[in-house]
Parts: sequence; structure tokens; C-alpha cells
Amino acid sequence: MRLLGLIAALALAGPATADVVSSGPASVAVTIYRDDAVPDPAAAHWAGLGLGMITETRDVDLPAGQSRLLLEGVADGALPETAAIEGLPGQIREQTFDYDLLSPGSLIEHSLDRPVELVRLNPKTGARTTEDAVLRSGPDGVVVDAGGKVEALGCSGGIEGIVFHGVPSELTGKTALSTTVRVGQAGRYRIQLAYLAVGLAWKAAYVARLASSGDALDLSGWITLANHSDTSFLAAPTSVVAGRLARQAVNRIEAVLAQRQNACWPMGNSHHPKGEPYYLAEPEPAPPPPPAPPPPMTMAVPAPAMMLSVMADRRMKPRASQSDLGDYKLYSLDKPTTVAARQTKQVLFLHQEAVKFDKVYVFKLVDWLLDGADDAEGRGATTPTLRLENKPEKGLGRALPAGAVSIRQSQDGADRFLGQPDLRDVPVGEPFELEIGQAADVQASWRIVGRTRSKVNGQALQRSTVEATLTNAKTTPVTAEVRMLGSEGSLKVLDETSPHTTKAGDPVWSLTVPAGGEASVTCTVERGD
Amino acid sequence: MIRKALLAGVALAAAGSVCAAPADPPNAGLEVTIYNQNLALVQDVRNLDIAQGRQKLEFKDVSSAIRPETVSLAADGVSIVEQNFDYDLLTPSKLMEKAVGQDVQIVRTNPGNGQEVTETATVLAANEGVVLKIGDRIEVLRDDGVPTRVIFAKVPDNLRARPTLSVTVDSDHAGARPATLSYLTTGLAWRADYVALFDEKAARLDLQGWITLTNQSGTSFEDARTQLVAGNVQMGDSGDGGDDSDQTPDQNAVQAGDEAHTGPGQALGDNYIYTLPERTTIAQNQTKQVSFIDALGVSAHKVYQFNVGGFESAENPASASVVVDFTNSTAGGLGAGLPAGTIRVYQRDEAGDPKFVGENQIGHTPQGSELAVKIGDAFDVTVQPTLVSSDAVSKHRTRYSMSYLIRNARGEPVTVELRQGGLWGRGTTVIKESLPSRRIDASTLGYSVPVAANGETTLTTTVETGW
Repeated sequence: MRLLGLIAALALAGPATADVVSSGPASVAVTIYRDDAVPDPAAAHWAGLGLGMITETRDVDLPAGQSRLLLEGVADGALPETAAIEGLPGQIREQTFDYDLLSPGSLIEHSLDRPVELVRLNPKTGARTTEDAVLRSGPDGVVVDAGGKVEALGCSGGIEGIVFHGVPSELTGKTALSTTVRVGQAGRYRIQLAYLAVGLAWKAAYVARLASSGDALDLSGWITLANHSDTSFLAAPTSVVAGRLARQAVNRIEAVLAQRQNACWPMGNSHHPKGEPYYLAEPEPAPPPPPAPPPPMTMAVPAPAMMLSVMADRRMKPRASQSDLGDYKLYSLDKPTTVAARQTKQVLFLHQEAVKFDKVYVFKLVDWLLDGADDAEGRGATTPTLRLENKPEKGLGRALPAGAVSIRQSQDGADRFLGQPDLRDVPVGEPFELEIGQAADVQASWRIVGRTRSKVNGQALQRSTVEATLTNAKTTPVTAEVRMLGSEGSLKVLDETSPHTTKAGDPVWSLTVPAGGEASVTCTVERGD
Repeated sequence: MIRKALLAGVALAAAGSVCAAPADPPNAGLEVTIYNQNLALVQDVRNLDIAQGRQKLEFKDVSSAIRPETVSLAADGVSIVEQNFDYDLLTPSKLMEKAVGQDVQIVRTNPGNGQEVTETATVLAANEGVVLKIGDRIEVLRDDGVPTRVIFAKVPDNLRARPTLSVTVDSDHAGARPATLSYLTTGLAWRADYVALFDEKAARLDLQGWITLTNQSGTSFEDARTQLVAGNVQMGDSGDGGDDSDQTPDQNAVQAGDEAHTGPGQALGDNYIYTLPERTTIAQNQTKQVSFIDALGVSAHKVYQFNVGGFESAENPASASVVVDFTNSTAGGLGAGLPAGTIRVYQRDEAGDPKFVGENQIGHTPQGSELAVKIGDAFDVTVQPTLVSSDAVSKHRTRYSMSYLIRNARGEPVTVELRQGGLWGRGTTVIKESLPSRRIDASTLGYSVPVAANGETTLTTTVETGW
């Protein structure tokens, strides 16, 4: 069938269908998506993850009539089933993605039963002899037939090899997308090719610098984008999408590559009975491994595996503008940039100064502590919490894509790192919190000062009176909160020394703790026993 | 020149095989029916010149992933004696093994002066090493390390470069006649991929459907009529595929009209079958996409959804889901059965360029069905539920008061479809609610919550449930 197909292909290979090769894009634009599976785009190991959308512009010269348009040089992480071609007259009915790659093995496999030339070199005289033969088997052990002389290649120990007459048309040097096009008029057409590709990811990261006043911070937002593919995108308009997209598992099809293995008959002899080949002269070189992907040629700097290029100037001017894409946020870099293969890049997208916040020391009292002995007591740390509102009047009012916030404070001229809480996607108008570790100088203690048990409608109830005390070793007064966690809506506050508010269903008591002093609240709560 | 060389190769190859099938006449052909689960039925009609009596017919280049037990050959006046799938492959060591006891030529190149000496040798053994008898001398091949070529007279008959199917038949007359070879193979697969360009403002989407074929069977299928079966075919662990060949649909029934599209799928039993409009070549290591639906202006609209699983509070607001709803109907702009596949949704950015906004799986969708495709989470529309109180009314009954804060940071009003799950079926009473609810199912209440542009809405409810 293959042979017959060959004849048919030869018959068809007249002027009816010409191959037009577009070797690469004239220009390319890149949109990078966030992937929850890539928590840190700057990290090393996430090959096959991430997602980008590549939009290429290509100019192709098409003859009149039908031709096969080969689009080479697509990104190596391309998902061919997502490819879309626009700009050609008429409708595209069929497109293919060929990944039958040209390799020593596939060349042999596809040349079976075809004529080749055998070449031998006499190592002493240098005489070169050639012979016509037909490949009869391979690539795992090559058998050739030179008209009644059948030989295995690479088994004699002499210098011998195959010269092929041509590359079988079905083999490609690079994976290529192709489509059959039909145009009425010959000429140059500008087409757009768009597809999704893995190997690209981005995430936001923030630096929050606390002002010495203690109630404001400067917030800088950085886009960290990374290209883990072997394809560089040169001078590309680049944008990133903030938001969580529904995704399907990526189902990449890998080529089944035929590899050439040098299989011969048993090679044992009287010195090496187990079949070690014995060479008088230099051993012949091992068969070459399948070709490695070519190194990226277009990198501006001979870079190591990871390169960090910071693209901000001293004045912290954002280099990306934000717009809406459906229900997501799209950040477009101001200028086209080169997203090189194996590169991580950072771009400032947000810089807001004097962002107002409230600082509260939160003590979380977990309600199962109340299940302890009638005179239970304990101590705990408080969590310094920055409360912000994403509103213009508070110095913000910008969409904040999820990312880690590195909190810094200047002290005595040096930068101190206070912690790195995670931020969720925060739309404009929403309040949000940043929790910074544990406070050393604002401490909490609690004890049960009274307990009664009762039964109402067959329900066992427990009533506890708890006293919580906060101490402040600072030289300034602080605002603190006692929050009773985990009540699941079933906790009733019966009595209290100061009124409570609620947060996510939990009762919260707010206190002002004087400098070097303490403050306390006592409450009586009832819950199921 | 290449053409000449290739034809020479064909002639050589034909001379080597036992019985080569002659060229196909124009009306004969290859037909491939691909099922969803990595399985295909191949039907290969060839014009075979069959002699009278018993003979062996050889079929090279059937799929190497063939399931040989499913092979059947049918031709007029021909009965099958036996069929074999030979995978005794031609390798250098097989070549040497088969030469044991036979004469070969050996060619030695003298490393000192480069002279070649040819001798005839008998292969005595090929165990661990090759032992030769040259005249009266017994030698181990290349024992002296001198480069030595071994020349065999021919390739043994039953060694082949690729697995080969051979069928021994008995024919009651001689002559050329069409013969149908059919078999099941793995390595061929198909799925549907949809591209939807969604225009939210115009409430419509353009839907393009592609059949994506992949071939890793080891063989290319040239110029094949291709049919695709949607739905699952009952399959045992192995070898029960024989019945499937009888399921081959009547081709004329499917080839209705002269449509450019494959058009609506035709029912095949409980499955749907799609026929590609033109013969196509499915090459090995190739992914091929064929357009089968191109519908412009399908009416569609966007819905925000948020599901609350039980009665509990959330510490932080969470994004509502963005769902695109459309109907697979003629009125909606569609109307064909849609095979299961991945739908990828694109929307235009403010510069007008289409950008990917999410993908999801759709099942086999008959005509008239409604489709709801979740594309992602809304950045600007969030819901934060709070359990205000829960009171036990009796041993198995609880009264829950919920408060939901729904925020909208978009510059236009939105409606969020909120679902509260966790109800105890019939014994549920809504005590009060700030917006009217509707019962979605036994355990779910639904609310349509309008939220102003850059605004927020608080929905409060009190529900008693239990038994």
C-alpha cells in the first residue's frame, strides 16, 4: 500500500499541488496566562505546563490554484489542535500538523525498499567505492541488498555508510503545520496564525514598603513572566491575563521517533567470547543520538539557563497598561519585548504610593479551647494584620492579581523584610488583609472564669465566661482584636464587657491597648456541649 | 531522476515478495471508520489477480497496530484456508542465523596494503559469535580484528522488514476481482475540537467545529474515505472486535446529498456517525483537522454563577463562575448533533484581537440540547457567604440565617445566579428571604441576584431544614 501510495503521490506531484513554505513569522504577539500549576514561574521545573497564546503574522506568496501551505517555525510547545489561520480567501477545510521528524532512524525507516547508495572507503589506499543497493530492513540493524549481494551494514568493522537519494516527502525537519489552500489569484497574502502553546507562564508579585508613619505603604506590583520553551519570541507585543480560566488537561501528542540502533549478529571471538566487538584500529563511533533541539540562536545575551532582566527605571514607572478581557484583566506591556527561550522577565505593572491601611493585632481564640477544664487558661501570640481597602480614596482602586506580597520596612537606613503573605485576586472596591507572622511585643492570654451547663429541649448547652487580656510592650498604643474562631454560627454571646462585631460569622472584640500596658475583655458565650 | 530511481526500487521490491497486490483500479479504495476510544475499522478494497487453487496472498503495510484476530478477507469465489500475521523481522542476526549451514562470501580488507580478498565460507554457527568454515580452516568471524564483510546470497523468504499479513486462500477460478480486506487496529483516534468566538455585547458566538484525527498506528492511510463514530462501542479486554465489522453502516445512506460539510451526524445504532466530505490521507505521526461545523451568530449569553455547598461562612470573597449558555438548535443557529470534545472560547480584547478565555469539555450533545460552558472565574464579581446564625429547632432540624454579600466591580450591572445547596429535601422551609428563591432540586435553592455597576447587593435568607 505504501509503494502504491508512492506511485500515486508521484503521479499527483505535478503542477496541481505545489508546496509553499513559510519558514517563520514576520511578527509575533504573545499573550501569557496564569497557571495554578505553576506557582512560581521563575522556578525551574514546569515543562509542559503554563499556557500562552501566540499570534503570528506571516506573508506568503501563493500561486494561483491549489497549494499546500507549510507553516514552519511555530513555537515548540504549540498545541496544534488550537491553531487557527485567518486572512486567506475562502474557508480552511483541513489543516494538519506533521511531527514525523527527520532523523537517522526515520530516514532509514521511510527509505525501506527504496534504492540507496552504499559507500565504502579503503582505510589504507583511500579508495572510495560505491554500489547501488536497496534498503531491506532497518533502522534497528540495517540490511541492504545490492542485487543478489545481501549485507548487514555496520557489522564488518570497515568504513561504510549509506547515501540517500532524497528525503522522503513525509518527513519534516521541524514540526510543521500545514493546510491546503486554494486561491484564485497568485500573489502575496498576509495571514494570521493563532495557537495556544505550553511553556509560558506568569504571576504577579508585590513589594509593600511600609512608611515610617505606620499607616501607609508604597505598593509595587511586578509581572514575572517566564518562557520555558525553546522558542524565542522576538520584539513581540506581550500581554498577560489575570484571572482563573477553566482549563482542560493538555494532551500533547509526541512523535513516535524511529531510532537507529546498531544491531549486528553475535560478535564474540576467541579473545572476547561474550561478544564484545574487537577493533584493530579506532572503534567506529557510536551512532549519533537523535538530534537535540537547536539552541536558541536569537538570544541577545549568551545567557545561562535562567536570566533575570529587570525592566524598570529608578522612578518606578509602570510599564504595562491594564484593560478588560471579558471577565479577566489584561496587562499589555507598553513596548514590544523579546521573550527569549529559557528566560524570566520582570515588568512593573503597578506603583501606588501612600496606600492607607489599618494595623490591627489579632488574637484568634479557637473555640474548642473552651472545651477544656473549667479553669483552663493559656497564652498566645497575636498576628499583626494590615487591613486595606482597594479604593481610590485609600490610595488604591486598581485590580490586584493574585501574588505574594513581600513586606519591607526601612529601619535605620536598612531594609527589613517582615514577611510574605499571599494575596488573592482582589477586584476594585474589596477589602483585603495582609497577615505578617507573629508579633513579639503584643501578647495575649486567656482564662475561663466561669462555667455552667444546662439542657434545653434535650440539647446539652455549655456556657463559658472567658477573660482575654492583651499586653503591649511597645512605646505606642496599638489596636487589637480578640476573635473567637470556629463557632459555625452556633455560638451565642450572652454577656460582654464591650460590644462585639462579627467577621465571617465569628464574634470579634476590639480593644485599644495602651503603650506598655494591657487591656482585656470578658464575655459569656453559650454553645452546644 | 528521483522518480526513475523510485520506480526501480518498486520493481526490485516486487521481485522480492511472494505475491504483490497489483495496482488499485480507480473505484477501489480504502475506508477507515474511527471510533472514539483509540480503535478503527479499516476496509481496504483492492483488485487482486488471484489464480485458481490454493495460494498465499501477502499484504504489506497493513497497520502495525493491527489486531490480527479481526482480519477478514472477502472476494468472489475465494475461501480462506488460513491467515497469518508474521512478525519474524529481518535483522542482521536473523540473517546470520538463517545462514547457518549455508555458504556466504566473506571479503577481508588487508590493513597493511588495503587489498581485498574474497573467499567462500560456510556458516557453522551463530551463537555468541559467528564460526565459519573456509576451505579446511575453521575461523571465528573477525577474530583477527580485520574488517570483514559478509555477503549473503538472498534475503530468506519469511523474513520481512515489517510485520506482514498473509492469507492462504483457495480460489475456484482465476482472474482479477475486487477483494475486501478488513481489520481492526489501534493507534488511530479522533476527537472534536470546537472554537467559539464569543461576542458578549451582541450575545452571539461563532462556532467552528473541527474533527481532529491522530495517527500513531505506524502506517499511513492514503486517500481514505473516513468515517467517525461518536459514542462508546462496547469492547472487551481483547479480541471481541469481530462483531464490529458487521456494524459497518450502509455507506450510501450516510452520503446524503453533496454537502460541503459533513452535516448532521447520522445515527448508527445508538451512536452517531460522521463522514468526512472528501477522501483524505491520514499520515503516520500526523494530526489532521477537518472542519465539520461553521456556524455564525449562534445566540448565546453569559451567566454568572456561584454555588454555596453548605451553610457556612467564607473568610474571603470568592469569584463567581463565568458560564456561556447557548442552545444547540436550528433556531439558535446550530442544529447538528455535536460530538463530545473540547470547546475553546475566545473573546476580543479592547483592541479587537481575539484572545483565549477558557476551555471546557462538552459531552455528546443531541440537537435541541442546551449547553452551559464554564469558561473561568470573574475577576470583578465575587460572593462572600456568611452564616449569621444556626439554631437547633429540634433534634434533627436547624434554622440557618445566611447573609451573602455580592460585589460587582464592573462598570455595568450584572445578575448572579446563586445556588445554596445542603438542604434536606422535602422538609425544608424558607422562613424569610430578601429576594425570591426557586427550588433547583431537592437540596438546592436558587436566587437571581441583581448587582448594580460598581455596587454590591446583600442577600439575606433564613431557612429551616432537617427532618
